[in-house]
Amino acid sequence: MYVTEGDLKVMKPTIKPLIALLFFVLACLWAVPSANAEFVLNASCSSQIAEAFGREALEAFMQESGVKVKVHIFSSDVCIDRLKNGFSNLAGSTVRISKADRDAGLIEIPMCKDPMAIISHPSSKIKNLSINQVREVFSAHTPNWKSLGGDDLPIVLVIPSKKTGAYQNFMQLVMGPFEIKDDLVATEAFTAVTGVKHIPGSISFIANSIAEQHKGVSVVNVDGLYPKDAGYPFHQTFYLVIKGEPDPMMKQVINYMISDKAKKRMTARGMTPIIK
Amino acid sequence: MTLRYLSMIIVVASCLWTSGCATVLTVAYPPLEETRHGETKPGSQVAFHYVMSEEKDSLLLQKQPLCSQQIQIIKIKRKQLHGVIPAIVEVPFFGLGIADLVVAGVFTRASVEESDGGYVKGVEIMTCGDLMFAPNEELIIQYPASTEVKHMRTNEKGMIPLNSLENMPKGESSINVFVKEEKGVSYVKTFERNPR
Repeated sequence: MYVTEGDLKVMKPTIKPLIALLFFVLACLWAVPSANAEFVLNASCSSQIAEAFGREALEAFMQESGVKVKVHIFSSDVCIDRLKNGFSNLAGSTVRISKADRDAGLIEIPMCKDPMAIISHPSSKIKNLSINQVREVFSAHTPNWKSLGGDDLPIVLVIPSKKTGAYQNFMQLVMGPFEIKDDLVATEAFTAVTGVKHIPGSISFIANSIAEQHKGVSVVNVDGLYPKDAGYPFHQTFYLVIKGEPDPMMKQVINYMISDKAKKRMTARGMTPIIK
Repeated sequence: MTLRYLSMIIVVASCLWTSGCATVLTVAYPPLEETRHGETKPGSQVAFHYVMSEEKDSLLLQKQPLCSQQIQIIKIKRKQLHGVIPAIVEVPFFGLGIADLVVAGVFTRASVEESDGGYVKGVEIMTCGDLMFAPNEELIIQYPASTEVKHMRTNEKGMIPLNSLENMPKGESSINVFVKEEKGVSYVKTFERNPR
């Protein structure tokens, strides 16, 4: 900005931009995170795994290890993507990683197995189905409970979203060449339990450790076998997924998940640890 | 005229009489005690850090001792600077406030006393020895695809032959290696292998 003083043009110092610059510098300094900020482990976890282990498992881990953890719950596919893209330090998944994920440096560590339970509304009289019957029900080839010896009531299929590990595992483990049909879609795996609890005639599938926590649903035997029985045909595997060579903090998390304390907690909830 | 000289004398006397607040208050207050951390040194051994690498036709397991951290506590006694605001008020009066602050600052720096507060256990773990071979260690080999688990033991040089791992279940392309310690199982490394 120039002002005229007599015959001379003199540059007038402008105060406002200087004040604005000072505020900007102060704002930048304020926004810079402290060098002494506490480390927080960001975990992306499948909703089935989070529900199966429960909040107390997380709190026990934080208390025993001294590591602060923030858990973000999504479907297994999203959890793996978040890990790949650096939004989280580790992922809990109910599906295996792909070859492309392995090439990108992801490592999967199977932690435990959990039976896949078929659940129905508590008023249902059908307590046992054969594997073929399960396929026919979930592919909508059997639309009414009457054909199975139950009440004259339409079968309502409450199905976890296609993006969930529960859906993908059920397709792979149970359905074979049959396609899963749906009447209602649950956005997260464990919310299918809520649907089955309240809708007469409904049926769904979920990790058995979650089904056992919810008293308001009926677990259906498959070929005469309860999910916890030896020989029960359908099991999901829960994986811990990390990216690259784990640092000491990450090794601490992995070692905790395969520790005797963690295995005891898994067993109490009906899961089977893989490394005994 | 007399009134003018009298006013000047009163002002100067007031300045001289009220100056030195910061110095006097700094000296009068008792010293503050605080602590800081000094050197760190390793304490007792708590675990081993395991490292695995491929060597020709074997996998080599090595280990390095880990110890708890011992941190030295240094106790510091020092006078804190007081009376800063009165000293700032005095600054316009022939700059007496500046001299006051300087003298008070000298007293705080001269009053520092440090003493040893001993060692306390830190939260971190640190290495406290060299990397060495890990002979006769029990390894758990896990195949992620099939979730099969195999138990093996390293030889006297901490090695396991690669050909003992070649009979991988069909479809496996990686192996997770864990080592069994006294306190439990620890993850070591994941190796990618060529799938069958």
